[in-house]
Amino acid sequence: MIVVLLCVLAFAMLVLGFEMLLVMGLPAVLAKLAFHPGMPDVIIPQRIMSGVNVGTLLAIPFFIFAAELMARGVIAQRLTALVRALVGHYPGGIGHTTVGSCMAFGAVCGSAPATVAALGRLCLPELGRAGYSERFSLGLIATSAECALLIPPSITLIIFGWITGTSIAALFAGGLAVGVVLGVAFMLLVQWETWRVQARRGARPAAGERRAAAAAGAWALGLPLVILGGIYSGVFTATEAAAVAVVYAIFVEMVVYRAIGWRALVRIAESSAVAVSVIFVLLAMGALLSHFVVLAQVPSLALELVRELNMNWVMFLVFCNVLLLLAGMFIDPNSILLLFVPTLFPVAAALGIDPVHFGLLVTLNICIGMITPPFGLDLFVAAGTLNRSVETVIAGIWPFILVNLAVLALVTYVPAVSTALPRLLL
Amino acid sequence: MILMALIYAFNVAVRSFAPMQSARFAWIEEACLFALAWVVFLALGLALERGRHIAMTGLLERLGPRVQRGLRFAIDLTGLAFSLYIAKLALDITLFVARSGQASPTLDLSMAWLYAAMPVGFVLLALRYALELAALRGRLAARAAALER
Repeated sequence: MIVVLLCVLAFAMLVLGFEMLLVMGLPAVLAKLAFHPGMPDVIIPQRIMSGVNVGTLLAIPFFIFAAELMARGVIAQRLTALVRALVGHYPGGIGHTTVGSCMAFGAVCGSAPATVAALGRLCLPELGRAGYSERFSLGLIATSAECALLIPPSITLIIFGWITGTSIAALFAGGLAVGVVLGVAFMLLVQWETWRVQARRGARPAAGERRAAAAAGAWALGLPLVILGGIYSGVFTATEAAAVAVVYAIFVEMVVYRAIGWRALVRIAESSAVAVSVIFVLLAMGALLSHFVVLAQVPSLALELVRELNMNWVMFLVFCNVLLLLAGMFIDPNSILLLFVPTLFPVAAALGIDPVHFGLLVTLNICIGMITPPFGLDLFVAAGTLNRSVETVIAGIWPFILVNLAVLALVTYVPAVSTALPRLLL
Repeated sequence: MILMALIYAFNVAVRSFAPMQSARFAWIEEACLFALAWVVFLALGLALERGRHIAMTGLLERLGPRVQRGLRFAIDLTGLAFSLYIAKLALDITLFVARSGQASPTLDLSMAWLYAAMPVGFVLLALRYALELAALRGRLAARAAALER
């Protein structure tokens, strides 16, 4: 009874616009007072601290800092220029450039809004000039940016790894594989649209121009190489790679490109600190909440229910898909992980589902939920940052959602898509 | 003042991870985690001021102005009470740990230094909520401004 009341309270707070930290924190504190009055109160601050004082999560602030550096500096632009010089003159080249650079940048930066802001503004006019409709261009940008959640170094995957104790390197490898599948699917769609509207090709760059772009982008290109190469060659852990990425980004932006001065560096550090705080307070409250969720034996109840309904693993995953897609439309990615994974993961594990497979399925669902009308958060972000009406963005998003759902079906039924690469690499 | 503390804390983090590549001593990770905790909790209030904390405000923004005012009052009041309560519990644990003299494994620094970030941070957050209550200069406006930029 009280459990139901608490759930209703949390849901009402969520819908009415309470800060997420209150939505998670208050029911947890009330649950402690209602069910475990004898337990010493210090358990609350202790649990909160246990969501922050974790070595694995140390990678997140570093990646955020590196991403802000790149977004404010020139690394992002140089990378796009390089991709454009390489493929811009092929049929559909401008479209492919958008997919490639949004996914690449979104990956290093880990934030869809920042990606739309940094690259969307660059790509949108060019897509228009090449002859793509505005609706298609907007949909393409919003979708490519969103799928960055899958591609390493993804903060979402780090958090999933922390909640479930899954190897982050394995999750990253699986994310890379699924991300590539998605990218190829989008490029096929771009190719089809190119043929349909007879989009123009970009100008063929002169040989010298290409070499210049390569030279200008070489330092920027080093960053993904350092991160991924470092992790998979076993030189660094994910956290160390993140710290190295910050030092490298500072060096490139300040010394090589001279795009950022000392004052700008301090400002970037400050805004990263706020971004870090916003994420970590959720992790802290989530750690508190999941402690009481587990104490209330919610996961084992869920498992019993699944057993009673005689679900096999496919049915369970389809159920997860529906649940998470719905949740993804309303709630931000990190909160979804903290709210649902502590309950769903033990069930998935009991049904013999590979943790990496499950992690990528969850993440892909969240990605799709974020761009699904009418509530998908990123539709509003894209409309807001690119100054277009939400209706235009929504009108163009449908074909991309269909492609996304097709990939989701593939990832759900064929575990090998997500688990083959990690097995090969690790 | 919050700002200065914040930048200082972040600089500590920045400085402390630089040697990470050359000498990976265990104490660096611990120092980073201490710095991280301070950054996280100190920036709580600042994040609220800038309207950066995550909340699903879609419905709230569509309600009538009077209902909106009432709801925001309820949210701020809840936030104030919650942060004060957590701050009090956090202060308890800080003092408890300080008395027990539990020290961190590698730095040999009292764990109270880690926990102390929490009461400080939540008191700052409570202050921010109180300011919002008093002035009603909603963070929704700040959030809208942040999105437009």
